[in-house]
Amino acid sequence: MFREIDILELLPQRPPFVMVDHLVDYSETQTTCELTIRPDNVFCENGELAASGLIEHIAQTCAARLGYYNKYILKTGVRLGFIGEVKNLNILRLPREGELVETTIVVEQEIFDVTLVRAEVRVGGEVIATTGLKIAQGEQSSE
Amino acid sequence: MILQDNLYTILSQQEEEGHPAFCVRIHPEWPIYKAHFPGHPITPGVCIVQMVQELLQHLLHRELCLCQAKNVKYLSIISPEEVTDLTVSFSKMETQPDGSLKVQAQVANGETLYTKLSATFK
Repeated sequence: MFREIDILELLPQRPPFVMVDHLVDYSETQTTCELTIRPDNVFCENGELAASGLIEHIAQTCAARLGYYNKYILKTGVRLGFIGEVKNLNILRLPREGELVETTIVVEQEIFDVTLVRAEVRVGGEVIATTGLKIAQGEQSSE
Repeated sequence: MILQDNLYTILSQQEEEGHPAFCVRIHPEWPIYKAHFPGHPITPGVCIVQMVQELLQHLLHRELCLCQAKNVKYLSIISPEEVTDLTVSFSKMETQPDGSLKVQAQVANGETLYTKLSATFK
C-alpha cells in the first residue's frame, strides 16, 4: 500500500533532485525506501551514484517518513527538512547504475523538530553503507 | 566533476598558514535550486560534501571517493539569495597507512562558519 503513494506527495524536493522512488514500509520508528540508480541521476558519475547522492537518498528516506507522518497521520502539509549532521558514515561501496538500493532508517531520538536516525543501505542482501543522521524540520513546503 | 562550474566556480586557490584553501562562488541560477526547494532555494547539504570532494580532487589531481565521515556538521543554511562567496579551507590532510586521506575541512564566509567536516577519502 505504501508503495502506491506518489513519492512527490511526501517529499518537499522536486525532480531532478528526488532521490527516492518509493516508500516501501512505514512505522513511527522505522521506515524503508527504495531507489533505482539511473544514469540521468544528478549524482551519477562513472556509472556509480556518488557518496553525496547516497547521503541525499538516506536523508530523503527520512523526509519520506516525516512526509507520511505529516500528511497521513497529522493531516497537515509536507515540511521542508535539512540535514543537521552526518555522523559515523561508513560507505563500503557505491551503488552502480541499474542497481536497486533499499534503505531502512530507525529513529533513535525525536525532540521537537529534530530527529536522530540510524540508517542502513542495502543492495539485495548486501549492506553497502551505514550512517547516523540528524534531520531538522523547517517551514511548510510551498507546493 | 558533478558540481564544479554547475553549482560553483573556483575563484582562487591559496595557502593559509600552510593549509590549502579555495574561494568559490556559488551560482544562484543553478537549476537544482528550483527543486531544493520550490520557492525556497537552499544549497543541499550533501552538495557541500560533494564540493569538498571535488576541491580535494582538484588539489591532488586524482579521483577520490568519500568512504567514511566521523561527522559533517551543518551550522547554518547556505541560501544563494544571501551568500554566494564561500571559503573552503582544509585544516588537516593526513595520508593513512592504507593510502586513504583523512581530512578536516571548513566552509565559511568571513566570520560565519557554515559546515565542518571530518572525513576520510580514498
